[in-house]
Amino acid sequence: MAEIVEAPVGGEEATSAQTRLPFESADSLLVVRDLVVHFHTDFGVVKAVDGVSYSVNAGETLAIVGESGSGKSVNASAVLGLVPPPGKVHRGEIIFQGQDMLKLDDQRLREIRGNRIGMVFQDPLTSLNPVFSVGAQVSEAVQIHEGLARKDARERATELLSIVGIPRSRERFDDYPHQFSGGMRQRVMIAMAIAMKPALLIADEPTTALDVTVQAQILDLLGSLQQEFGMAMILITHDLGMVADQADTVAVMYAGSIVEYGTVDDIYYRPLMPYTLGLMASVARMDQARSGRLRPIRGQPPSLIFRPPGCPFHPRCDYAREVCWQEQPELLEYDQQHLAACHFAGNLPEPIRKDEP
Amino acid sequence: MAKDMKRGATDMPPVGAISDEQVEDVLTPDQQTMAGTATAISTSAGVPASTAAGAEVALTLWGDVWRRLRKNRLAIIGLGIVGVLLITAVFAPLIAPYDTNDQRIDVASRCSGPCAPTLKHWMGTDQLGRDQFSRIVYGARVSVIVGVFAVGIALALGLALGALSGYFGGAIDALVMRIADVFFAFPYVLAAIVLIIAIGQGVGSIVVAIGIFAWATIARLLRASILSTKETEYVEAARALGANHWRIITRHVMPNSMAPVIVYATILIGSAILTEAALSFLGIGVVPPTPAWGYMVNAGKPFLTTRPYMIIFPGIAIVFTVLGFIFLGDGLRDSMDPRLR
Amino acid sequence: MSNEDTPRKRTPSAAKSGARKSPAKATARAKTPAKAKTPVKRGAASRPAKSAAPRPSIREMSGGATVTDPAPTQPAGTFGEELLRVEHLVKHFPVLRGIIFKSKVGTVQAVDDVSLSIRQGETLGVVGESGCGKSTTARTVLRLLEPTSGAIYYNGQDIVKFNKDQMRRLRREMQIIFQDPFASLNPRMTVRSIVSEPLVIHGIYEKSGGAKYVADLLERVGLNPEHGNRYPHEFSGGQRQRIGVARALALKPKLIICDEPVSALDVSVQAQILNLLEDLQNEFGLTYMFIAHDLSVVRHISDRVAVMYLGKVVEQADRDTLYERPMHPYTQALISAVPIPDPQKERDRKRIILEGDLPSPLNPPPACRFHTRCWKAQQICRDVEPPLEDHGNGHLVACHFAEEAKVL
Repeated sequence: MAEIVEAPVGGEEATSAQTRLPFESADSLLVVRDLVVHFHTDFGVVKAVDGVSYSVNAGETLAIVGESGSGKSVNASAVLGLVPPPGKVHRGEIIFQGQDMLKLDDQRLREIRGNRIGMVFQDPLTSLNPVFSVGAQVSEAVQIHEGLARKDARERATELLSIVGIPRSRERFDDYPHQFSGGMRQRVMIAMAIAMKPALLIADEPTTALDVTVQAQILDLLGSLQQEFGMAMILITHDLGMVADQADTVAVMYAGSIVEYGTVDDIYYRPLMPYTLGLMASVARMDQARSGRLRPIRGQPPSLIFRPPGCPFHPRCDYAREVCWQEQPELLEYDQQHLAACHFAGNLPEPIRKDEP
Repeated sequence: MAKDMKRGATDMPPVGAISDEQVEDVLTPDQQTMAGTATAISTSAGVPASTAAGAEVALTLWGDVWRRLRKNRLAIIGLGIVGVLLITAVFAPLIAPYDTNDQRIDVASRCSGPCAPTLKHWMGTDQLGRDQFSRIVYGARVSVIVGVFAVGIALALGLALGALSGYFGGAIDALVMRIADVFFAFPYVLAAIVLIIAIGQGVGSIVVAIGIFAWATIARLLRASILSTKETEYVEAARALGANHWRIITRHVMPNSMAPVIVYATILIGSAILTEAALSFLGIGVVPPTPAWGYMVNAGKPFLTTRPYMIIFPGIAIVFTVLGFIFLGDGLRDSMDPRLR
Repeated sequence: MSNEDTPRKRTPSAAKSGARKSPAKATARAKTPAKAKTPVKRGAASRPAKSAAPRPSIREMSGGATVTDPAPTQPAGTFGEELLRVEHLVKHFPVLRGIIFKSKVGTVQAVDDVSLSIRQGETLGVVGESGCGKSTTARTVLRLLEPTSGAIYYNGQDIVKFNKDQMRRLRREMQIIFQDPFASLNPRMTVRSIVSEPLVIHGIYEKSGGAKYVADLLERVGLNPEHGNRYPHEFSGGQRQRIGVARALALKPKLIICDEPVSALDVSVQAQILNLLEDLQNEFGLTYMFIAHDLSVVRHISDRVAVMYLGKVVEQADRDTLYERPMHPYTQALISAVPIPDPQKERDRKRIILEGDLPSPLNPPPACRFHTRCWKAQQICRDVEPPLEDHGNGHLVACHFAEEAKVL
């Protein structure tokens, strides 16, 4: 099991189009290879995304999981060509439906964005313009991409609002964002995202700002829309429950790199990398009676400016040995379609558990 | 090294500079903190992450502001001008080559009025043969005194009333703010003129006039700032600990509400100096023969076309001084802006 | 179903007017024998069942269920005597318009007739969505907000009637830990001055051991005391929360109200803080009121859990009962809405999707406040407010159609 099957990603040579990602297939919708995004700040280079590769197949959901500062959101904005300054994509390929997004000009990129790739962000309040009515904003989205006349656009927007479950959408068309609740605003965002029946939906923490019962509504809506349109989805979240519920494949990010990548069952039931193990052990479980203390990961997530040398997780890792702070492990396939970046993946040594503070 | 890392670690500029919600993901304050501690931890894995190596570099409000201010070229120019002004005012007797009231009739008569700049009098002399440069140097004193004391009065009134108004709210707030409205409704300079006529001409009158008309803005700014500060959880925490109003105001609310007031007060010094110059120009400011820039401009008025240096030099002094305070104020605003921290 | 028939029966209005004195007496009686003892530790040997006299007013309801005291005594457990008892707590916020002449245009019924009790050494979890009044309840208990009506008994004394001085002294016994570790620490104060502030305020800084005590506190919560000169922004979220814990702990309080203490933290750091809170509880015999919207965390840390919806407690039970056999439809929906980090379980689970949004607390639905989103709602739910009834073993439910369901 610990045997190295192949070394598909990581390293410079992996950028060549021949190497195949574990989940890549003929109908892969999106293939990201060795993506590197850095932010040049006065205080050093923030290595937000540092050599990340993954792929999404049509109709499937890839969850990118990570804590704050893991680079998971920057990853998504890079796919959309929306890395905010002073961020810069340094290297890599983002192949969407056969085209390298990084080689397209702004015009083409805009056409793809919002047309074939939809996006939903965390905060539905700041994503909507407060001075335009909700309906106007949805019809604008429709007008831009579909080239509909004003009246038709209004018709289509009303239809979209009712698809995403806004009751009395015709009456509420002229309401302003502040008259909508958080959940309703998120529905509006989803309506705009799916207006063009995109092939891929990128949802960045889509329910973090919402209440639990509303979160359930939104997840339910996203799930049914996904089925209806056959959309693929990249779900970016820190919520392990939501990942278990939604994802087909999971990429766990830590300090700008993917540290484990596999099917949702592999990640949850057969984790290889100590960080994934630690994450699973540190969450409180609602479905189980209490069985003693939680086992937290010690320490704090690292800085992306001063990334620990070697394996970025080694300062917090119970299994770390000398090799871990000397060499950065590559993301390698240890099992069928199950990758991990760990020197001891699948063969962990005795833990050296230090006293937890 | 450790010091530099600490600095880097505690800075937020990436967040402010990028100013996009996605950047939360790039670099949260947690990570910023960790930046400095990362290496420390790799050598002593397992200890609480706060164990950064290196000496304590406590970053106070001013340390933090200064670090950002340093990078703002205009602000540094402003600071330079203000510095020159202060030095000039304090050391005027050492800098000025002549006595300001040293009337040289012989010089004046030779030039039939003001003389053009020469090596001895490099800003020329005025119609009474007094050295212009010396008068400008001493004029800085008037400007500084007016700026500092007028703003001092405005701050004293504005801070006290603004704090009461913002912190306690209710009837006190309504009362103070309505009084402030009344002061807003007066035309500033006109009111000052009336006041000066009432209590007599002189530096003291100008200071009082400006001070009691400028407090209202300070009170408003502070009040608005306090309204948001007093809702913060650390103020609530202090209340939960049983702290009294005085302690909450002085230790928690005021230190965290002062930034906009400091910015405004800086700019206000400039504008007080300008007001003084305007009043002196109108002849109701500083009493001659005390050298004041506005008064000097006034004196140069008849010679505007023939001997423009009479007006140019004091004019430049006024413009640069006021600009200096505005640059500094703007710089402070940028470096104190809470969105950047 | 009317509650207002006989004068003998206790009605909320009677209690609100202060007509009843018994709970104060009862608790006062209850606490005397154990007064001198050290606080009970969690997991310590089982204490005798709560010695308080039986509540006087258990009575039969027409429906057959019993209505207990507003804040009923929970079954005997390993905990000490009752420390905090909230009765019919109401907090309304007037909505005002106008600048000089303010006029009331509405009332936000943030907390409406909430009754709770917490025993020494126990952790009571309070869960609910935004606007359910859980944080308002917490702040009212601490009297950071003045209650509109109702009583708050701490050690048998109604602290609503306390004057400024009494309140100041009481603050040494009750503390709060806030949600946002970035907002709850004064950015202009060093860590050391933040943690010593409570001692300074109460004039016991020297007496408590001064700098040494503060250093010990910092060490106890897992911080390096040498970093006392630093400012809060130099610490990460988890470490800041530790500072907040140290501050709350400084006065050696008995009751700590934890207002979403881990919701702003990363998952891996959440567990650190939860463990710290548990250790401190064991070490100092602390009593927690733990407010959160994260149901998983609440199950982990609480002994008993109260579920709030729009200013009301709709269900209350010990933690395992509440999660395994919830009876109120809202609780069921809430639990079912939370995805479990277990893919296979998730595939088999059925989710109850509630219709619509939370109604505004400015204008809450009449009678049962949940009826607008409830799949079980009948006419009676729109007409009659369901009382919080005991369905056995202190499992309290406020629903006309309470029924166990398994939603995990």
